[in-house]
Amino acid sequence: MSVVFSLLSLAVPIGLVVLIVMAFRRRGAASAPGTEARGVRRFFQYLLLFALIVVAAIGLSDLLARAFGAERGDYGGGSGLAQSLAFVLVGVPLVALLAWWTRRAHRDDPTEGSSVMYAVYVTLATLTGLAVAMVGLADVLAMAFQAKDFDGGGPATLLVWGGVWAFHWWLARRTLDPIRSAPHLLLGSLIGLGTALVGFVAVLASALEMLLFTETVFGASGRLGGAAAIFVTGALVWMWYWVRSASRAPHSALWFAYVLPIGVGGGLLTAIVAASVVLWQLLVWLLGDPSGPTAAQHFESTPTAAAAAIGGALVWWYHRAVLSVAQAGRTELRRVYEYLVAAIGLVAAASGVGMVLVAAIESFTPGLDLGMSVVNTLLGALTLLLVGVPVWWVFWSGIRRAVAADAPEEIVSPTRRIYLMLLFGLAGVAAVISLIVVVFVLLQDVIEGRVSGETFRAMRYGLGVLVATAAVSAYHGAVYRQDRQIALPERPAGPRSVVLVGQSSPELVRLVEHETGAHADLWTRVDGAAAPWSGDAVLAVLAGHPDEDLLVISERDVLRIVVVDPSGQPPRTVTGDIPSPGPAGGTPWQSS
Amino acid sequence: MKARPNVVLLVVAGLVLVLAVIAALVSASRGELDLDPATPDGTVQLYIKALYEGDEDAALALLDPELGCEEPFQQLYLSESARVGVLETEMDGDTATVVIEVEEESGAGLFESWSHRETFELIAAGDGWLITGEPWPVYYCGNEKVLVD
Repeated sequence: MSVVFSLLSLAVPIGLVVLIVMAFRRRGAASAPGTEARGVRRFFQYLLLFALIVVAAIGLSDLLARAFGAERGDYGGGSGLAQSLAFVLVGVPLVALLAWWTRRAHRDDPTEGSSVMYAVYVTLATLTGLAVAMVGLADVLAMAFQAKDFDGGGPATLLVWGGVWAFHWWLARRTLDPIRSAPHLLLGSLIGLGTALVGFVAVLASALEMLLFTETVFGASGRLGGAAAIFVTGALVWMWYWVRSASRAPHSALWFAYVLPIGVGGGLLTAIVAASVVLWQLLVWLLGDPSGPTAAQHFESTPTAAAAAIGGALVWWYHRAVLSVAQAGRTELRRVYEYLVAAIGLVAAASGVGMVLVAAIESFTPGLDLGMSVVNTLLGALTLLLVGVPVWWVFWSGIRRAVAADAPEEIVSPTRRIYLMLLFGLAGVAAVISLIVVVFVLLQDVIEGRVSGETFRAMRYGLGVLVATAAVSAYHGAVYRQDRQIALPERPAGPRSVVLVGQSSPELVRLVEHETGAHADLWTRVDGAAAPWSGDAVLAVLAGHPDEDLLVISERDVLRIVVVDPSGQPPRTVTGDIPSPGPAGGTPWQSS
Repeated sequence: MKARPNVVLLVVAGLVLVLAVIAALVSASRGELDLDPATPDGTVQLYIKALYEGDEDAALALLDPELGCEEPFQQLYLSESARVGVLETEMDGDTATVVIEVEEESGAGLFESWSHRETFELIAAGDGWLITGEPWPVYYCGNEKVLVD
């Protein structure tokens, strides 16, 4: 409860400041009187509704748990029961009253349903209900799998919070359009995926341990049953949110932000880190100094790592298939995928390069070894190289082949440019931080008059990072310089920015941006006085205005071009009207 | 594709390979340290080695009897593995100070190690040295002895 109230006390002032700023921004526009106050009213209305639902649900689930026979340690003579009763007696009527008032407001004013505060409320309430109900469901399943003794708390939590979730789910589906429901569906998918992955890893690790180390399963800990409960809970949520809903939602920027960095990137990263741990433990057992005399001791954490490697690989494989990046044609999406995977492999390989230097420094600074061996460090470096280099090499070779096949197309792609700049930026930051660490260690020993081989050894991780970033920067610097030497085809000089005013036509916006490189916007005329766009005609008139900001207004039979100055100065020239070819004079760009 | 990036890649790969081979050869050819009980730093290292090898008798023999330490050591925490490097040894007549860097490691992770510096006070005893004060990782055995300069 204290966490909820702390969050609320933080959210109120922040939300108020945001509302006031938004209100002041909106004052310039012709907004109806009272708009600002309505925003503040909505903020408090939905905040209060959310808080009351949380309070009522906490009280109800506690009372229901007691009815189911759950034992509650009421220290101080029934204060817990009194609190739950107060929550229910005050919370439930107020929720009903506020919900009735909100429903009436929605009926009287259709703009209520399209407000941002309402969408935020529905998203938060649904996800809160989901998260708490999942805890209850995992509890109930654990009892069903005999991993846990019966306790009334689990079923009560599931029933009450499941009800909160179900109602808000229904509300979200009924009142939020696909764009506004995307955060809810994607966050729900993420919660389901994360829980399912944790459960999957725990189930597989328990099973492997049972097979390898002959441990009992349904024993005192009941680990397998508890893990299976978490897995089933996560899988159900993921199926409901992702498979049934979000995977079929429009592919917005948020959708790709979920699938690419989280699905593909997160899955692969998990797999690579876990596979490195497994391989390292195996190599240390075969060639290095094992951490225990018996295989069971040395490989104690290996089943979990192996399960995480399999789970991460599955998540990666699935999201890769969802993206369908294997299809023919080199789209920007495929580029993002390939550069992302190459980057993950590169980080592992570069860490391996740094670790080789760490091992070399360790080998040159002998000390009293009590179980820590240089061989293990060297095997760690070898592991990172064995895992990282193949991943990087496979994907980077594909990228190099794409450059060889069509260099201009590949090297001007935003993905490649952002990839190279990000690498230089991150390598620079890592190098500066490690340089500070190295200099700090050196100066510390200089000041204390203790500079020795031990000083050099204490600097080894910092030096390893420096060497790794230097290697990455040197290679990609060479790639970048080579990119710049490749001659690009001449591009006609186009305007800086274009605002098109006429019929709606996203294709025209894309065409103008692609052909001229200008930033293009389209404002739809609602008076019906615009002729259908002709792409050829628009490109023809734009060609005469290099490096200018333009307003292109489609009239019934003319294209009006106005050169504008975004800084607020009056336009320098008005080029006049150019007859519009209309539907018969070129490719018509109908609204879509 | 003229191969400047490829040249850089080859150079990096070559250097990594050479460095790895050197590290492997040097660490393989390195013998065990010859610790001399007649020196303060040898005494400290022999004491820590005895503790890590579970030989509490040998460790106890290197501690000043006035500390009142007895077998088994109470509340003694040792990591799974460690490495000790001597930073500084200062001798002043019958007393000596040894500063060491202790690197400890536990678990089977790649980066699960931490390091700290410890200072040992020693007094001369016969041909060798005895550790006194509050020595890591035993610190205190019940008979606290205050060193007077």
